[in-house]
Formats: sequence, C-alpha cells, structure tokens
Amino acid sequence: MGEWEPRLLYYLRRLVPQEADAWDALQRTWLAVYRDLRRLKDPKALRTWLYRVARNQAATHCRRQFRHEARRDDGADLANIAGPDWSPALEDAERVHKALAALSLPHREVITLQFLEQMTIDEIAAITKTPPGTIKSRLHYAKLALKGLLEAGENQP
Amino acid sequence: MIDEPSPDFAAQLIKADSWNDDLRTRYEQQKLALVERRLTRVQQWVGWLSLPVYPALVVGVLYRRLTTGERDSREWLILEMVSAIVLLALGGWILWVLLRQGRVTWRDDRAMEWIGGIGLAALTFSLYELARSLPDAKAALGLHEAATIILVLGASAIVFERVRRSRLETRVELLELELRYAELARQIRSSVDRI
Repeated sequence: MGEWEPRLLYYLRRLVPQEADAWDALQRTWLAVYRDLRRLKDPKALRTWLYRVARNQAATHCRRQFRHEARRDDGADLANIAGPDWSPALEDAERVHKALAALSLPHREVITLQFLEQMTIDEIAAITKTPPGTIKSRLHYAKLALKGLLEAGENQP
Repeated sequence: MIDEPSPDFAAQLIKADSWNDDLRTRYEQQKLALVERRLTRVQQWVGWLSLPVYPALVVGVLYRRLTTGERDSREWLILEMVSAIVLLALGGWILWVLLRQGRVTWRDDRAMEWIGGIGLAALTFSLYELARSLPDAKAALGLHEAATIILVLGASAIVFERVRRSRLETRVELLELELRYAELARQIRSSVDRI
C-alpha cells in the first residue's frame, strides 16, 4: 500500500483544489478498494482500476468541476497530431511540477497519469472513461502547453 | 529532452510536491480503520457503566470466600477463583479498550479470543466438577445442563468471531498481495522497456 500512496496522492492532488481533499479522497480510495477488491475480475487491470477508484473519489469531492470539465471540447483535429512525442528531461521535474498547475484539469490529468505511471492511451482512456482519440488529443495539447510553459520559463531572466 | 518519461521522472515529480504533516498524520490515523474497529459511542458508554460491575463481582466472590467459604467444598473454591480471574480479565480488557477511545485492534481481538477461550474452558470445567460433587442428583443435572449451554453458546460466539476476523484478515492480505503484484509487474515492465 505504501508504494502506491505517493503516486495516487500526487494524482489526486492534481485533480482536487485543496490538499485536505486529496488526503480524504485517498483515504476513501483505500476503503473503496478494500471493499470492492473481490469484484475485480482481472488482476492485471488492478492499476487502472485503482486509479479509476481514486478518480471517482476525487470526482465525488469536486463533482461540479468535473462535470464542467467533462463538457470541454478541445476541438482537436486528430489528423494534425503528428511529429515525435515530447517528454521532459529528468532535471526538469520540478519545473514540470510547477507548470502542471497552469494546465486545464483534463490536460493536467492525462499528462499526470502518463508521467507518473507511463500509462498507455488506452489505460488513461479506461480510467477517465473518455474515448482514446480524445485522450490522444488531450495528451498532445497538454504536452504542447507544458513545453510552452517550460520554454517561457527558460526565457525569463 | 528524452522521448519517454521514466519511472525516475515520476519519483522526481513526487519529490517536488510538498505535503502538510498534520494532514498526513490524520490520514495515517484514519487508515487504521482498515485494520481495526472502533466501539460506537453507545458501546463505549455501556462499557464505562459496566466497568464497576467486574471488580464488584470479584469483591463479592472474595467476600463470600472469606465469610462462608470455609464450609464450601474444593469445587466451590475452584469455581469462585476461576470466576474472579475471568471477570478481572474481561474487565481489564474493556478498560484497556475504553482508555484508547474505543479502538479495538486485531491484537486486542486476538487477546479477547484467548481470554474467552481459556475462561470458557475453565468456567465450564469447574461447573462440571461442581455438578459432579453435588449430593442432590436433580441439582447436579441442572448445573450440568447450565454448564453445557454456557459451553455451546460461548464456543459458538468464539467461532463466529474467529470466522469474522479471518475473513477480514484475508481480505486485507489479499489487497496487499494484489498491490504488490501490480507493483512488481510495473517494475518488470519498466525494466524491460529500458533494456
């Protein structure tokens, strides 16, 4: 349990506005996991299931915000998403952490899942219950935004 | 810039975050709800109210022994001593739990199982012995039946509690195993990816 706590907490902290809410959501996540574990049919899906449970707990806290964000349309044209995938360097972790706060909730969520767990698009789609195409688009724009924020930070004196 | 974020990057990301120690402590305390239970407020009140009964009964048993006890048989002495010890153990257990705001850990439950098991065995044994020593056959039969009922009810309660605890412990262990398995799978996958 101890090994999962930091990652789940980091993820939850990116979803809810207050730190206390993140701790509460983590607490309720473990209780829900403990209660519903027997319903998990495929042990290989545990990681995805765990994050989905955590997400549901966060959504309970901030239902209004989640509903609003779910209606967001990135207006992404999937055909335009091309080029090599970008990922930040190890030494940029602290700056990435700070820049994450400037992203929108859907972008912050998908990119956090990828950075934290190196999840595939399908896994993130399963957690967020969003079509893989939308996740692909969100990841693309999230990375663009993040890259822009990091570069803007570099250019500042 | 690298092509894929590594698990090390995740570790650095988590390291960059800061946490409130008070909230963490509160979380850790609440997490214990997984491995312990807490008496309800009513149960705690009942516990506090019943607490003087145990030493009072022990004093009563000892008083009887000192005043009229010399005329009693050895079987009476054994029953009284066993009753006093069992009552003290039960009272002590309840006091221990109440002093910790009604928190009952797995260890407390296990201790209660031992107290209950040994106490029940000793009590029924001393009752059977007393029944055997009684000159009145009708009274002996009645006491024998009462001891059997106590034994059956007590043993059922202990078995029921044991089953409940086993289910709880198994579920928590299963959860830990599942989490470790998933963590191991994650580590293997990231090692393979690096190779």
